[in-house]
Amino acid sequence: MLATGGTIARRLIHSSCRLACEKKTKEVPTPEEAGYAFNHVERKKGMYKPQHSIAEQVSYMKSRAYAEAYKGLPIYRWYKRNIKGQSKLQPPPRLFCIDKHGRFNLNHACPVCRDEYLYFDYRNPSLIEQFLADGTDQPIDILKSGLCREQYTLLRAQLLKAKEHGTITFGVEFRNFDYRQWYKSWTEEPGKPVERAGVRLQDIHPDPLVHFPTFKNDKNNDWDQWWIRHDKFAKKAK
Amino acid sequence: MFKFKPKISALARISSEIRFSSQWIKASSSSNEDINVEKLFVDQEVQKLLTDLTEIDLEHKVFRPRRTSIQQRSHFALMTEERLEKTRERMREEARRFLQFVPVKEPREESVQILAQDSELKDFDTSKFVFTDITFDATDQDRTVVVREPDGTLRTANPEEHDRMNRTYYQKPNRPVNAPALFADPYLQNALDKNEHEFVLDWACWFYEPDDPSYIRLSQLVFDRINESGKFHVITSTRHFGPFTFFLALNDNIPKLLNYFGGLGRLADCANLVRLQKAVRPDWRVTIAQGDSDEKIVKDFIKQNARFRDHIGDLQAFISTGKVKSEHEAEKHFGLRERLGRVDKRRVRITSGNIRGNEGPLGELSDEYSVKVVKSEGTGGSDGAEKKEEGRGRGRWRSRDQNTDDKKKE
Repeated sequence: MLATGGTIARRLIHSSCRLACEKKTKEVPTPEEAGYAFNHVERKKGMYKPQHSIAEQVSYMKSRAYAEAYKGLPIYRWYKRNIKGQSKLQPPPRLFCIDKHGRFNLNHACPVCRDEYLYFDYRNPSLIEQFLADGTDQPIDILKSGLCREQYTLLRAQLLKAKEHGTITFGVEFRNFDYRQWYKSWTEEPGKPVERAGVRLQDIHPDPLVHFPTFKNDKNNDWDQWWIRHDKFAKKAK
Repeated sequence: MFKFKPKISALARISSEIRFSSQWIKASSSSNEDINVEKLFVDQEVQKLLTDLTEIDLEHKVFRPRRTSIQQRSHFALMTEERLEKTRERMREEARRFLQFVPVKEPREESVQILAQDSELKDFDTSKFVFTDITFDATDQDRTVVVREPDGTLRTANPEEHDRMNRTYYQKPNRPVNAPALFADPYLQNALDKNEHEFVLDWACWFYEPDDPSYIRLSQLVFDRINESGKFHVITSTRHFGPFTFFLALNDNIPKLLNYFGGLGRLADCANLVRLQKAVRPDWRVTIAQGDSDEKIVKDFIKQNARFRDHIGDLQAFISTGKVKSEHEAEKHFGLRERLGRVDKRRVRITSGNIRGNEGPLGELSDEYSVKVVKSEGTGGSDGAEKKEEGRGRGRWRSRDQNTDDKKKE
């Protein structure tokens, strides 16, 4: 199972190999300068995913290579799972794209596994935010995101971490204080408790009382006598 | 269990005794007498002044878009002017409830009651045992929590343990058992650099009780940093602005906030702030008569506090010239003023009345050249159509304008 040094070297994606060589001599250049941002390897099965620091990931997400690859859209936008038939009926997501040895398990990895610079981290909230449902702090459905189970779990974990470290903000629940509980001299009743996102336009701006007739569906009426009187006129076969 | 319950309930949240030093007054500020901060905060006059100082910004503050846990659609409604005004008023009422101040409390007492000492239970285990009452009718405040120490002592839990047990057994969203990393410094400073003060304070008052020493420490830290950096706009029109202003007034530290109001040209707020300072510190040197106008109060303050002169430049500029800070800055940038002037010129509406004059598109050249108005084909067509039928889509408004202009000419 253990690969020899030679096979590991062969399996490494060539770009990262160059990076490793450069690391020894000087500081890590930005992906832009180094020009290694786009990975031309088509079949990655059995290869190792290169390791990059979070600073490199952030600079990559600002680089031209990233903009050209994803065109300013979320990274899962043009990802298509290799399935037959409707997306509704697709098989459950795969457990992982990268196995315990750090090698790609398959050629068509999920949108985060396939990009050598990307992995979820709370210090780079812009990647996590791409996977949040519009206007909420909750991740989108796993089948919509196209992620493998492992990455989806990491997404949720890093999302929680990002919230707790304040890199992703959200509307904290509103705490209604009853002042009588906190001050002896306070006698005034507290108002009706309020909650964030609890203000609805229909409460603020109630619609005028217009009476719309209810739709009358044809139930429990016997205008259609066909089946009731069927016995009378149907010719029974002998 | 029930034997000692009446004893424990005697430990009420409201502590009646007078404290000798308040946590809300810093040692550096010049105060030697004792002030009952809680009593002062709920004083009617102080509450009124604080409420007046907290403006209501519906769109950008109170109801600004936030990430919520559920997805919501945007709603659109077509309404008349009158109805719109009514709806706005109701939204403002709603917003007032969202601006309820967080109570300003002294840190609670840390004392515990020893209920029993059973020496035969000594060294029964190496760790403490915590017993929590999770019956249905116990509230978060009066829940019985007791701790059995390894040396056999049975005591009531201290407030910190009490809150922790509440968080453990009664989980709420965004209220983890341990305090999030956001409340400690490297991350706190990062959040404050991104102007997320409101988020931090909101979460802190959701997570901690208002009389928790850690909450008081954290909120004072945030308030101090706001005052240092002068970013008052991040906290105005939130529920924390009242406690913030109260904290500044208690510590005799208002000049920066005064300068901020002065820079915006809000003289009434400046006067209210001075009044608040006077209400909080009756022994303060500045005197305020009953019928003084806002301007006089502020001028008196400036005259009597010459030591603050460096901090209140914008306010002085506003009082002397009547111009707010943004106008001053616009004047400084010559190019900007030029651009503003051009924008103003463009804003003048060109009608058939002034098209031949200086205000028209030719400007000053119109003295030399006569302006001839030729209708293009499109307008000519609509002109013809106008006679046939009025009130068709876009053309109607244009034709009406033309009609009125023509009438004026006649």
